[in-house]
Amino acid sequence: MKKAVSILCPEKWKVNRQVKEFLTPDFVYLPISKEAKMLTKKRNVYKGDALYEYQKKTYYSPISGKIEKIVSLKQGEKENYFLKILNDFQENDHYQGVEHTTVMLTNDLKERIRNYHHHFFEDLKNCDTLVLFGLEKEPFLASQSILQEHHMDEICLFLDTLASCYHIDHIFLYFQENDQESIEAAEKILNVYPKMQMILLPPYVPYGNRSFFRQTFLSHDRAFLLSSYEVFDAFYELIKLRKKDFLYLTITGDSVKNPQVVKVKIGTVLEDVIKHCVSCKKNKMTILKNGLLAGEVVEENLVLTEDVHGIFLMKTKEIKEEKCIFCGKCNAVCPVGCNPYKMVQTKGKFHDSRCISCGLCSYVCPSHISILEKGDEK
Amino acid sequence: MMKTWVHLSYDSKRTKKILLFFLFLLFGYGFYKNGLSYFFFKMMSFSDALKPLWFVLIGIFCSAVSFLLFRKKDFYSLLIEGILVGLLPPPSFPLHWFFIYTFFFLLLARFWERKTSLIPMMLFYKVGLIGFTSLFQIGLQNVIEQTTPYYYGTIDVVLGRGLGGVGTTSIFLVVLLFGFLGSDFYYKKEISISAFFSYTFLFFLFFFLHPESYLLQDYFNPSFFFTIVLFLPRNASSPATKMAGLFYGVGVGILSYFLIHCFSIQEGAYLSLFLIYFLFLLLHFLWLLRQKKNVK
Ligand code: SF4
Ligand code: SF4
Repeated sequence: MKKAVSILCPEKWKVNRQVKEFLTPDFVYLPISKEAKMLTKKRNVYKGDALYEYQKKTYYSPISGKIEKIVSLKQGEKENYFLKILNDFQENDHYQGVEHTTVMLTNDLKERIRNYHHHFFEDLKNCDTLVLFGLEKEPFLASQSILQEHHMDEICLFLDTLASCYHIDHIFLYFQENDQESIEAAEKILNVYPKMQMILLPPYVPYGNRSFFRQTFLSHDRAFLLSSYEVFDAFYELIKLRKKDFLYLTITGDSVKNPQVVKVKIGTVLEDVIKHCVSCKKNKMTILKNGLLAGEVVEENLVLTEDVHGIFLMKTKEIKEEKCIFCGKCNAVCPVGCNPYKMVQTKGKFHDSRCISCGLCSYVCPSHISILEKGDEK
Repeated sequence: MMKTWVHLSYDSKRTKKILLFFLFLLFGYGFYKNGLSYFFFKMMSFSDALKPLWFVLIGIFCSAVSFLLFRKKDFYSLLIEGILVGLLPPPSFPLHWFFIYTFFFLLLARFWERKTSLIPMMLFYKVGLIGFTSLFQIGLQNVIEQTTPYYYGTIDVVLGRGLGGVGTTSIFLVVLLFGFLGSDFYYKKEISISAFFSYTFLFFLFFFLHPESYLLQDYFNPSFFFTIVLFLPRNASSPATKMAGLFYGVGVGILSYFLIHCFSIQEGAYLSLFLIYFLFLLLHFLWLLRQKKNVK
């Protein structure tokens, strides 16, 4: 077993699991660039309409409304471009999906999976085990857990159907021991799926890191790993025949009075979500995206995309870096055997390719040296 | 850019408090062993019995002056340094020389500290003291032990009757201190343990090969235990990587064994740490040079 560290989420940062919805922003913004290939000429779009292709990805409108213009937003040092869409609040779409309320759906889903050309389905042909990766990346996040709690039946149905399409005999669901809600949701329906088995792991960091998990817990290459996000996205796409247009977002931190999980439209600006969904303390805040161990400092004008799972509103503090005291704890704690100490000594010029950016080295460093940033400087 | 916002809360005050508490105990024992016990048996005058206390008071005074002059504000560190300095000299070390040496050394140490944290000042200080004691041929016994024949058994030695600095002889207290410090995440216990095992292995190897030349109580060398618990795992002057740390510890263990038992240097552990420290410092700089060349 590789090394791991137990870090618990402080009680005051635990989120309210009653999901708040904010699905009616005035505008949504989709990342775009000059190279994007437009797929529509219309200015009035429906929810789910394919708008453009950019970096081999098709972008769909998460709302119905009117395409306004391309705007630039200054985010940190960078200037990013977005397609701005004005919401008409009608939620019109070309809905072709089937309501997934009965088991009859299975056959329909099977058919759709067979006809569905998605890159990861190709690899499934050589696999004999499906693995659901239901662990949070950091102990402070709850978005995946909420998704599992609310959509476990869809997740399990999809996995089971996928397994029978590709003649896979084993499905393992991995959850964190302390994620009671996901566990209970799975227990309720597991007897329906004889191929499925639940495995619980202690809530250690970096078990929620995908590549670490793969190296550590998947002993053979023929296991196929899917996160709950991926399963749910694929399920949604196959049932509704369009991309999922919302995401679950954990908003927490020591500047938030009511930490909350929020269901928001993709493309919403963070500022709007904060204004509508949480109340903040009156102090200067630093906003971090997706984690406190290895998060990214962002601004209020962040546009929420599918890869944003958590927002941390933290009291601004000066993290004073002291000189390295050669304690060696960064090396001792690194779960993949990198040499972060060497990274510090060479002022970031050396970078270990095995690094999974879990942030544990910086977390234990008594001199508060941001070793992650040193790695990034390269 | 990725950032780590939360950090492991490290209560350095707790560690300092533990250290301070044990230094008080060690001082208490040293005071009893080298002064009060003889005073109670009327073998020593009261003023002579106070000598260990003077060592510590001078240590604290010199430390306070150097802290004040260099505007360093850390009350716990001041006390720790002051008491530690007072525990290190042999009991019969002349007080006036102790005062002069400590005063100037600590001023110099403060000056150096601002430039680098790499130098283990207390080790340098102790090695300087050893130099003094051998130059002026000052023994490690206290004045009574120097004039009166005595014999101590193994248990006595473990409890603190062995030879060493005025307050460094209680192996029992030092081992107890290791138990407490060992729970500190930032204490490099593996270095101490590797030194301990290599020393123990060598001692018992020769002990069983030549039982006629060794006494079991020779194993309990107070300076060795004091060194490996208080000086050896110091973060700034010991290797950062685990493997290098283990070699460091083993090196100190082996060299200590030879200096103590083959060259009969009672405080050889300090000297062996001093030598191995320089060796590793050299290796560290060579490593750093190579890394810099490699990444260019
Ligand atoms: S070096 Fe990379 S993998 Fe290792 S602890 Fe640091 S961030 Fe994690
Ligand atoms: S944890 Fe920090 S202080 Fe300790 S060796 Fe690593 S970089 Fe240096």
